Amino acid sequence: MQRRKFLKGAGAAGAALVAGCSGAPTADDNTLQVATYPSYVDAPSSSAGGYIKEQFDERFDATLEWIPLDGELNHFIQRRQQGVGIDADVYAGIRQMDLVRIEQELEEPLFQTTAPSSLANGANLKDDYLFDADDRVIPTGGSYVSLVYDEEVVTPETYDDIASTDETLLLPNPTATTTGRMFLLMTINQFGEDGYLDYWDRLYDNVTVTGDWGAAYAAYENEEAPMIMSYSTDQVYASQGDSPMSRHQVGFPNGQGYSYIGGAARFANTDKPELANDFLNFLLEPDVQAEMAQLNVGIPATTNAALPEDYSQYVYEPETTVRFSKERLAENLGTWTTEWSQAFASN
Amino acid sequence: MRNADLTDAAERVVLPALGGFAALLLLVFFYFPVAEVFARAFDEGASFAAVLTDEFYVGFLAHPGEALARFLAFCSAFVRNPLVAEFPDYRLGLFGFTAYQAFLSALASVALGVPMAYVLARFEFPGRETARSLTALPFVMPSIMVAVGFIAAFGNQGFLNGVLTALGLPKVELLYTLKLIILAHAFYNAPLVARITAAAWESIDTRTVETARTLGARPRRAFRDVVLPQLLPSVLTGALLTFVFCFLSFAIVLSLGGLEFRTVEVWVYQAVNDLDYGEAATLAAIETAFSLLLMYAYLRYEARQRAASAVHPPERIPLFGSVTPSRLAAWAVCAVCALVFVLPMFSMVYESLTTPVVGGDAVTLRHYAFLVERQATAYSFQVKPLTAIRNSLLFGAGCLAVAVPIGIVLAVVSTREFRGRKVVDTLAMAPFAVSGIVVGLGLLWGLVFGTEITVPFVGTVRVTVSGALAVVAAHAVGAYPFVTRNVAPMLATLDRSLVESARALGASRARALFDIELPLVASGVLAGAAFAFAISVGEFDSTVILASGTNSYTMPVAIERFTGRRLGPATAMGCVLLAVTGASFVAIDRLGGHFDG
Repeated sequence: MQRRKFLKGAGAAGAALVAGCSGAPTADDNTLQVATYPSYVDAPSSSAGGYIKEQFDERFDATLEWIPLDGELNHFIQRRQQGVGIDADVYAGIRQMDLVRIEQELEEPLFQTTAPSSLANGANLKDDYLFDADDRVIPTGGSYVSLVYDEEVVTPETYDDIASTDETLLLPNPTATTTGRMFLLMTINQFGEDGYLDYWDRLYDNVTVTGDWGAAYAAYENEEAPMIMSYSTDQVYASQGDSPMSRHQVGFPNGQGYSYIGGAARFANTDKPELANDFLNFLLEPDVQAEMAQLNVGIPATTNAALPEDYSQYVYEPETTVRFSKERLAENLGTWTTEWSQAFASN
Repeated sequence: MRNADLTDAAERVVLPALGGFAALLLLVFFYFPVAEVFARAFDEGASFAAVLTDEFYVGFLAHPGEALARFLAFCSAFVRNPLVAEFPDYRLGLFGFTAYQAFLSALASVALGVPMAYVLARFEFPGRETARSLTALPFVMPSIMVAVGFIAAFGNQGFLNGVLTALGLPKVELLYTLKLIILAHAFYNAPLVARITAAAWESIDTRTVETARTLGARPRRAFRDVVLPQLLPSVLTGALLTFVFCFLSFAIVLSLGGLEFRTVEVWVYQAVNDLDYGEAATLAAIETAFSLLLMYAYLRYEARQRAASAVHPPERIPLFGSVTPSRLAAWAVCAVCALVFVLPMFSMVYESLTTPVVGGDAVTLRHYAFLVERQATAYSFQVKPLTAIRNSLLFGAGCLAVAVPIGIVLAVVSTREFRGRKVVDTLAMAPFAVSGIVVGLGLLWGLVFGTEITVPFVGTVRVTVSGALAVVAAHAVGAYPFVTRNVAPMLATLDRSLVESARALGASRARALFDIELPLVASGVLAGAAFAFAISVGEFDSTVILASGTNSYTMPVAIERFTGRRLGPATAMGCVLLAVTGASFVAIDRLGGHFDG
């Protein structure tokens, strides 16, 4: 008896669970919708999202609404490709590689121009941080991709050191991850387009290429290998825990590190271009830049950020910054990646 | 009288109504999204010819003539001098390797799962019911958690090697080898094989065994000729499901495999991330065709296994007692299970309670404190643990409510005789055979972005579907095949005459189903329900897309959000997931037990 009743009830409930339809979300006039990738605002350690929202809401007669999306910028590229409208006003966390991809995939630009000179704080931007020649993206902070290693096991100072040691380097996939890709570019920069594959030949025996960065770092934490390609701000995280600093030494092979800069831009069809402009300018305020650098763990994009004295203790910068132009990447990155894949697979 | 009339009417309508609802759900949440992806991608130019003739993808099959020539050369060399002839070194290609690792994984899962089923079905021990309830637990673990657990348990600096070194034995090197991937696949799938097989084992007719014994057959012969044929369909179901899952495996391979072990799905994932839809769709289409073909072949085999028998389960032996060969075997199985299942999960719990310091690890509750703190102080755009737990449970319950009835109805349909029955059955199993990434992408394009439909008198309207109900529907679509695959083999072996007698006495088809058939296949329904719930709780790809920008995130989404440079928060959330899900399984089983008689 019970069984029959339950099954009837369950059947009825099932029939009632028809998917609901919803209309597109509408924002009221004074809400600025800023899309970004999840760890920008929701990282387990610290993130600047909450601080930025509180300060923006206070200083302006408006409300900031964060929209964290796992699809990141691809979400919007796809919306544009499918002819679906974009509701967000600003995207925060744009990197140079993203610009390359946008250019390859879309004919009409996704973002509108915001010349640094049009922002009151734009004059304080570091010159070498301006990575968008088309003036759409305003840089907001950066870091470097570098080696992180255990100083009690290895002391790699040059690319050759990495290749000749007996120890293993954990490398997230260069064809699919940021850290891996930037290390590949560093080797191309060092050994040239004709010589870098020879270097990888030498490196082949002591590199383990993993699928993603998370699993690589999990292995590194478990002391499976003494070297990993990661970010130069690694010690900031290490100092927040009790992890021994000896395992979190930052190394720049041949004094080089790849520059990894993030920025924000206004979407082309936003209905609040002035408010968005105010937001971009607000992100460049000295105190905001300082907090963002500390909370998002990076280096400010402006010259006058009000950083605390001891911040630079854990933040390392290389002697030589490696960077490739957008045009060179657009032209060659695909070829380099395929070349590398084939060479690696055939080894 | 009116009440009875209404009930009669309802009963006549309920099965076809459920069938119609199932069809609608499948259409909106599976076929439409998948079709959208394939259509768009083929628009952009899919290149089957290019893929199927590329050695990278298909290995030696790209040059069949050359492969044949090499084989013939080997044969002639072998004939001349068997000791010297070398078998040609054929490249498997991406598809070949994927099929190869899936085959090994299925083998390993069966090798581990069938002995587990033996212990669960034939032995009595305290906590047996709970152990059976918890068999689906590995299934819910997100791959990053499995990766963390396996690295901590089986890495070169892991627990296992620590113990081996302490005992003076040589280390085993498992990390970034194929062996570890297969072990992880077995971790996920052996419990599935075990549960399905145990359900069947508990439903066999022991009188046939007794008859065989009285006719002079020795125990092993009786087992081989009488019991094994009754178990084989279930074992093969488990093996087939495992093969298909491992064929489409990507997250585990990504986390635990080095570059050389990429599967087709990893390639699809990369192509989608690069917005290269043509390539992604080509590979996904080939994957799907292969999986569906395999399923179709299997279903035809399963259809021929119709053997009418009554349920007369064997008696259970206490696990602890005097040493007998069967008890020794059971204890050995328990030891292996402890190694393969308990060790990684224990490693995960260990990681969540410790933090690395100079000289080792220190115990800390900091990671759990983070969860509490996050719950209390999170902003609205951040993920909160309690919300994730609540959503997971609600969606799981919703998924059960939808997937179990649909799964049962489709199992009934699959046991009916009509032309093209196996084709319909295979199409109903399609959610298993299609790449999860493609389904996710289709849900994004078709449902989240919305579709324009022309409404008369109103014009074109963009209909979008997202949020909680969409998540439940997507989960149900992914979960109902489990129920069907667990119930159908058992339904197929039921005595037809039972149903026929009931119908002859005036019962409607639905009544006969509810009152007679379902109680007899209850253990299959329960197993299916447990896995359906597990699928819902562990689902990530579709959930993360449909819940994007809403508060409908689940525990796996929360774990992914909490994954960072320090593993503590994510592992703590992972342990919460295990605890909550384990408790839910036990609850489901106890609840299901009430309906058993």
